[in-house]
Amino acid sequence: MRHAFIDTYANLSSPVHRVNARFKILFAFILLLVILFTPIKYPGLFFIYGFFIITCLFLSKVPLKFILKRLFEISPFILMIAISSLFVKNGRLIFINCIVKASLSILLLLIISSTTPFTQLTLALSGLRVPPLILSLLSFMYRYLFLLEDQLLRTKRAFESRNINKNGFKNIRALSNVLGTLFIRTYERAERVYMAMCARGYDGEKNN
Amino acid sequence: MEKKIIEIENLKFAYSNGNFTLQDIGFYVYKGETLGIIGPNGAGKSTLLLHLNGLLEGQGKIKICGLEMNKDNLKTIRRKVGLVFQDSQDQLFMPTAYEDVAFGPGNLGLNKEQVDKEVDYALGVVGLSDKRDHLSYHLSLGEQKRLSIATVLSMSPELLILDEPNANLDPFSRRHLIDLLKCLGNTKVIATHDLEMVLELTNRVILLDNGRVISQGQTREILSDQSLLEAHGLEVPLSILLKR
Repeated sequence: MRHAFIDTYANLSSPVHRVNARFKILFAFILLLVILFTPIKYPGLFFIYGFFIITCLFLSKVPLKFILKRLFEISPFILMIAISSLFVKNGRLIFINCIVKASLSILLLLIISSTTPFTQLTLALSGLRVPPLILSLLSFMYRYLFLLEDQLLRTKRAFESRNINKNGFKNIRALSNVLGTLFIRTYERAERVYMAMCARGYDGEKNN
Repeated sequence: MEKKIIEIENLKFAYSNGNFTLQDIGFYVYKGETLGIIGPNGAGKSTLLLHLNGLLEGQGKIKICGLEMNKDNLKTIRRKVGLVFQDSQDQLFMPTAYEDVAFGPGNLGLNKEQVDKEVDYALGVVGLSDKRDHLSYHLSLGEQKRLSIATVLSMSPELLILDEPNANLDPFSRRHLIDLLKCLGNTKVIATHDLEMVLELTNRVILLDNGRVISQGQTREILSDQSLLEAHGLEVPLSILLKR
């Protein structure tokens, strides 16, 4: 089982890591709003934001490759929305606007999330009065992501060990079955976890 | 007469596909005793255990600690019954060991100090005090199982229910678990097909197959009945065979 792939670089020591988590989140949130509300016609400002974020990134000692990989993983979603804007009037400007703002925001959040251990992150969020329900969702996600990844890995191994004829296209059917199974297993686990919660007196509100 | 902790009469239950998983189940469990529920895979053991905490609702009469199982009593019953699930990954849903053990007491409405006290006590009993701030998926399987037990012990349950507690444990962890269960004074119901453990821990067993109670009685008596056990996917424990 691979552990702690979210917290890989969260325990390094750097000026960015040392900043109080609550302050970090609050500051990032404000900067996020500023970025989003800056009109695209002032490109100079975006260079300043970009410069600031990249300086933080270098100060944090988190490998550039790690951050870029994450950014790349999210990019299809940004592109999908951005490309649709090309079909309206003034589309190119909106396209650039969308790509620049989204990339800067995501970089910013990636820096926050990869320089703060997850337990501190939720603690800081609860200090900032984020509703407990959202925090429980976050911590469940964190808790079971490992398990899900592990299950996917095991299913993949079982699949590959019986898949002699490695022919990309023919695999699609089998692969969709793998995904289906994974979905059902996850769903059933959610039911069992909910039962385990009820068994310990959970009634829809988290009291601790 | 001894106090009855569990009273079940004529319990019936069907999953939504219509097949009866449990039929005409009836038994008692007395205070302080340890009952074993044995039976092959798919006999209905886990389904039965989920009824003892009101997580599933069948037809028939269930009384826990003298309380009728219904909506009004559900909260009290869940407080008195500690259910330990077969898969620790289901049981341990919070990030750290501490948070997991504190979840139950927190739901009981205790304050921070009392919760801390309960957590320290429960982790101490299962021998995991030094793992308090560890992430639960970093623990070994045996430790996860003991942590699962701590998550219900922190609610001071009267009745402890364990579903296949030693599934997948190595011999040392299994021994550790059995010794731990021996030390706990609560009334216990243990569902398993590890008959050696049943022999060691319980004084009475119920044999379940196909959702029906096939037989119930003294542990040693039932576990010595070769033809009965073999007819229901079990076998006489080695320790009994060797003594013959």
